[in-house]
Amino acid sequence: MKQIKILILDDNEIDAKMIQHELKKSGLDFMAKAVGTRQSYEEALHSFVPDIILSDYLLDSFDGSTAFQIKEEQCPHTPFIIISGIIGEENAVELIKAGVSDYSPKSKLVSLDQKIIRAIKEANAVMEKRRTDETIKAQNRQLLEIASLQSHQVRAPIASILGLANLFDYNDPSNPMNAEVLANIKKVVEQLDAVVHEIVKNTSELNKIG
Amino acid sequence: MQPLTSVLVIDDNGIDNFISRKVLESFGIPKIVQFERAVLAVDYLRTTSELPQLILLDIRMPEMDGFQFLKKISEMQLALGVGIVMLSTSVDPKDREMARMSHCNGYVEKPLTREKLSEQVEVLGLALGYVAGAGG
Repeated sequence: MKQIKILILDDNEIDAKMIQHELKKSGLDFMAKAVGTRQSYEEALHSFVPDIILSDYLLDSFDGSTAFQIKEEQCPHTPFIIISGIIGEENAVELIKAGVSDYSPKSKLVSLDQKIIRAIKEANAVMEKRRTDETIKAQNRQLLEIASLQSHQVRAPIASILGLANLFDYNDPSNPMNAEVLANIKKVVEQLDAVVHEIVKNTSELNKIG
Repeated sequence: MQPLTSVLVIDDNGIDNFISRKVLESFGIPKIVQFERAVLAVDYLRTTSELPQLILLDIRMPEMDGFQFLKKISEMQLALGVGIVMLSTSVDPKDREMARMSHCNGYVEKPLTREKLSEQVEVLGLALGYVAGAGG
């Protein structure tokens, strides 16, 4: 895993340093930026572009829930971990239900590195799945277009062949129109053959994409 | 019933034009005008002194398709009172629905046959089987 960019939101500088100290001890390869106000937090979301956010729950100017909402609006895919001493298990469960990646009490930062790695992996998996879904949807749309176009391209010469067959004068085989009808049938069948070749070509191209 | 004597066919497919012409000729219709481009048919309708009684109109055409043609002649108030029957290669019900919503009098799934033409002409209140010189 490449070096992780961690944004720490905590208005207590000592706590922010303590978190970094714990993470260094665990051997995690990271680069951190610590912010303590709403304004600096919002700026850092844009300028620092963190891989993960570690946020205190109760701050002087605002709180972890609001910070999470801001994150949801500005960078919804970035994982978000609440680190707090006074949040309580029930609140933590509610936050995780709302979409927060994880929760860690300040008194127990030992496994924070594992939580960070897991949250990033999960976020990556979600992103990957979303990308795959979008690719599949786009491919589906393309297939539908091809199918509809091709049904028309095949149907058109078939309609012509049916029309020509109706014109053939069976009562009078020497009717000069019959020669015209046959010549046209040959032309249309050649068109149909070209359409079939085109379909095979398009399908094999889609196979390559898939 | 008035006999059908004059038909305009608009279809970019040359072979389907051949089929339409032969079907119309088989009923002895004396005046058959055909265009492969709808824009040329618009010009024709604008300048002709004698409107056709029936227009057979293909749907899928490049440049100007059947629906665009209908819109154009409706805006320009050309071909007022002329029966318009759409010809479609599509078996897609959406095309039939779109035709129903537009200002046309009938819809035929290609190929055009004597039977399909008879049906449409009857609905328009016209008669087939014109014989030149036989009188009304």
